[in-house]
Amino acid sequence: GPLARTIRAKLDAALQPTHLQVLDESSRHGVPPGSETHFAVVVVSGRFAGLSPLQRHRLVHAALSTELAGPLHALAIVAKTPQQWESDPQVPPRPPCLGGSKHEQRKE
Amino acid sequence: MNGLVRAAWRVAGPGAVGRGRAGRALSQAGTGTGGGAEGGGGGGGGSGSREAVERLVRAHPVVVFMKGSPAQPLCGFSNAVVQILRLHGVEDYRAHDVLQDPDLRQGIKNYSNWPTIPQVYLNGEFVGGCDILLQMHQNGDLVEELKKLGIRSALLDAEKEKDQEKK
Repeated sequence: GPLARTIRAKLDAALQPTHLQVLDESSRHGVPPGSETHFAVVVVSGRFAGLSPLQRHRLVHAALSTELAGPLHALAIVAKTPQQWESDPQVPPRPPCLGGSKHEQRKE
Repeated sequence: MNGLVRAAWRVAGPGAVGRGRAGRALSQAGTGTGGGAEGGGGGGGGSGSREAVERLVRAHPVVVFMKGSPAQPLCGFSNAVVQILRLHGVEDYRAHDVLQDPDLRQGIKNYSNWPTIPQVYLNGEFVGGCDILLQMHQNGDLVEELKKLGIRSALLDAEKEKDQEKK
């Protein structure tokens, strides 16, 4: 979808990842599939070297600050250096949705 | 370790012993503004102000801002945080339900400059969200951080028991 493309483009530009996965996980979160509200990204970039997980996540947030202030409601992040990814190319299991979005007051 | 992580995703049932307290709404909720609004509306004064948030994060060594409560999380990511803490035997912590308080919800994001919920604070310091807590749990950092706070992780006792069984 369009948001997925935007996310990909912005992360590419900001972090020059060697590996990048952008997954729309909205269907797993109590909203219609393809809603493009809940995403997971797997970002492998040399730019993360020497940075703590918090710093890495902040870099990802910074690249997507406009989206996060807008339609992007949730963002799960896996941020690894190329070396880390080579030695451990896996993504932790995603927690199941507990319907939190249904408790939101939606602005149309 | 993966088995433990998968077990953590089990939803806390009604019988769960969650002693973390749900945050009481500090402001008058129900002004009609959308609780789903992620941007706009800074917490100028009231429960979302910098001072108010600062008081909350310093009130206890372990403070969590989440959706729902430890006894009944309303979001998979928030539940993950609760379950991880529970695995470590941390049941005594402050939990604040941002769904109850839109000002707090925006205020905590401004305070930490972090766009999403849940948020975990150890000793008044922002540590990260669900992904980071999970990482810390998996690589042993969480046990260390809890130790610095004078909290002995239950997983250390579990390890000890396992060793004793081997003898």
